[in-house]
Amino acid sequence: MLKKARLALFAGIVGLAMGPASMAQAQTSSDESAAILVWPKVVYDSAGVLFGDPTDTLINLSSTATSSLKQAHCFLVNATAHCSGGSGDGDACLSSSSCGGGTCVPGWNEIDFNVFITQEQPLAWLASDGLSMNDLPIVGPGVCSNSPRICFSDVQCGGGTCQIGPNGQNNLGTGVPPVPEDPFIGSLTCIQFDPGQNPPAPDQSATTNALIGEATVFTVPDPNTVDGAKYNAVGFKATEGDGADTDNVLELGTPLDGAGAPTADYDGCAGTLIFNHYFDGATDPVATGGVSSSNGETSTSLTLVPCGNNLLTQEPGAVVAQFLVFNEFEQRFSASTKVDCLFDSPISNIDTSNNARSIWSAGVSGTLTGQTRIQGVGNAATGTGLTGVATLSIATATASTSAAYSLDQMGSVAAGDLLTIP
Amino acid sequence: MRAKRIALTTALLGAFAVCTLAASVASAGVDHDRPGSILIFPKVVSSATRDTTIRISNTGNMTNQVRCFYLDGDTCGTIDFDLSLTKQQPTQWDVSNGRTVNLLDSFGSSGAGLDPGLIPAQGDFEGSVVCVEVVDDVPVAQNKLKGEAIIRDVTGGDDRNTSAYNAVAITSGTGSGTSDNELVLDGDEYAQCDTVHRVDFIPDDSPGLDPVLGETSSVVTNVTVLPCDLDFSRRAPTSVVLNATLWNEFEVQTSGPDTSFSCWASFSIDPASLNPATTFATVEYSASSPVVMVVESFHSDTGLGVSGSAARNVHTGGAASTSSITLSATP
Repeated sequence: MLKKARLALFAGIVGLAMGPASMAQAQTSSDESAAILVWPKVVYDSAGVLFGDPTDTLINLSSTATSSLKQAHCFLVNATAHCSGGSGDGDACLSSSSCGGGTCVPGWNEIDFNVFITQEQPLAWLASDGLSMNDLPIVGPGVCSNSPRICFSDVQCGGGTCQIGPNGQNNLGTGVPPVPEDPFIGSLTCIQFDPGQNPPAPDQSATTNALIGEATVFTVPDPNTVDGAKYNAVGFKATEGDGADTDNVLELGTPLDGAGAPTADYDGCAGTLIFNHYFDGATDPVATGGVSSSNGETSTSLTLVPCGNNLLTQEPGAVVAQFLVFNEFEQRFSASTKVDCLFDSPISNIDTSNNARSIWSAGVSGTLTGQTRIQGVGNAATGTGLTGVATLSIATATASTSAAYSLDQMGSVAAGDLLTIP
Repeated sequence: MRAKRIALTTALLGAFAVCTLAASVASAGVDHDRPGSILIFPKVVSSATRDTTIRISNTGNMTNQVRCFYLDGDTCGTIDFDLSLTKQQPTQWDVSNGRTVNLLDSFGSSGAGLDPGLIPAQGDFEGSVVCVEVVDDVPVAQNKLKGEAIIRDVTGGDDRNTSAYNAVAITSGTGSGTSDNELVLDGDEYAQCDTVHRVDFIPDDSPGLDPVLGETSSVVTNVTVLPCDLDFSRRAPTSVVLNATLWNEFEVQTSGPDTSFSCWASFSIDPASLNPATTFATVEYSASSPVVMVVESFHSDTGLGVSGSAARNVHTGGAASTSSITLSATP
């Protein structure tokens, strides 16, 4: 009897331990509209200096709001590293090996801008071009509310308002700068603001969580070919119970309070990221090329960014990413690396510069595919949450082709993350 | 006696907490970036020009048994097979080749690893793959499966047609699950499918065409749809009518042509109703019966005859009416 009681007690304790954990369930999502969108990977390289082939990124940003103008306050983070010293001094780099004796020093700075989106409107721009006044779909002229006169501003309407665009909504105020340098690698974060407030503040209206986004990374190996890799932006919804933020410190996820109400401003970052992948260097089992068929070789690159950043003091989030890797024999490997602002690397360079010796190498793992689980740890004030995207590349005898896909998310970071904006 | 009462109370509270966990997990609904109990790969192709690799992994720490079904989009016929994945085990197969059980597969070969089971090869195939968590052939929702599909060109030319998307994952519901072969997607047994499916796309008759390739290029966006009402037992197709609402960059809303299909459909978005056509547009689909979908866009240069493709999961929202997936009886 005592044994049964102990068992019941144990089961109860386990259950209670699981219960609160459920409250910390991550709700970030790449397939639903949200109030904060993160594009982990934005690249531009007109000459293929960093990425081998000319590369550009098409950013899609749309509003699902059915009746109101929405403002996206965006931060384009430039994480391009540069050589310090050596023969390549000042050149953009991915590692010190390309610096001719110098050191590849990580860079981090951000540019903020606004995008005004009318109801149900799709907008898009190339990272290299941005979006200037001339590119905006709805900028005028408008019509005065008190007379059928053409106008560009209220002062031309003698007391009336100048209504520009259907339902009086327009893209005026939008200005997306092109990426600040070539080559460029970085990330983009857009926060939904309420344009009706003065000064504008994070949107707390009933139609918050109205933004959806995508990115397409185009690679153009030569003028006659194009390769596209598309992924959905990761979305953080404003929490319903707590409402969106009223200050400039956006809290991304913490457990619910005793009454079951969220104590954070937005949903939390995932506690664990999971993705399946081919191991690097694996021979693609699908032969291409018909009679003279050959099998390509696979590689996967992983892009990670911290969920928290201090954009006010220009302090990037810094998180140590811990990796658990399982091959098809259920064997487990582990590694870790620092994610300082942005991490973008072939998976077989996460743990070593010698790809063939990596735990993500097909030669080491012995199987074609694996499952990698990622957890952020550390003591940065901005938190330990991570988000990202994976890109598969298959190189055949005649072409290299790629495809991006989202990382799976499980649980949430217990302590939450902080995104501080100016 | 007091200790027994405390233990009983704690156990009840624990059970309640576990139920809370189930409810919390279930609230996630149909997802593309979380593990689930039912995995749906809406677009699976095997032909002379394209092939698909299916990747599935068990994210749990217990062995996970899985029943999978190939659903032929033309005939609505099905072929089922079983997988057994050890803890955290990933596995993969190419639809054209399937996967054999061979303990002597050499390291690094496509069959290396713990064989999950015999997976039949498909010849010319266009349709979907649906996988369900089971224990001893009884569906048990554990939310431990995740997967991706990779569709690639196999002609060996200059085309860059490799596309990848995450499997649609249907999570457990708030209830106690099911004990029969009818999986009810009602929020109780399993999460409901979505009502809204939204796609941003480049209209193929838009003035800007592909933003990178330029003036002689075209972009075709293909949508693949599978009803959430699936009957693998009677192989009965479900008929669906899709209504399209489109918006251009000028915020002008139009209604696209309705699309009617039975069992499975893959079609290109018709932008003809966009007025005026703009470089970018949005389409939102609502369906007469719950569906899941995936999108693949083809960027090509008509002058040069080359193309590249990219797939993605659609943006979704809302909880659809009840639907069900009926598994065939096991032999």
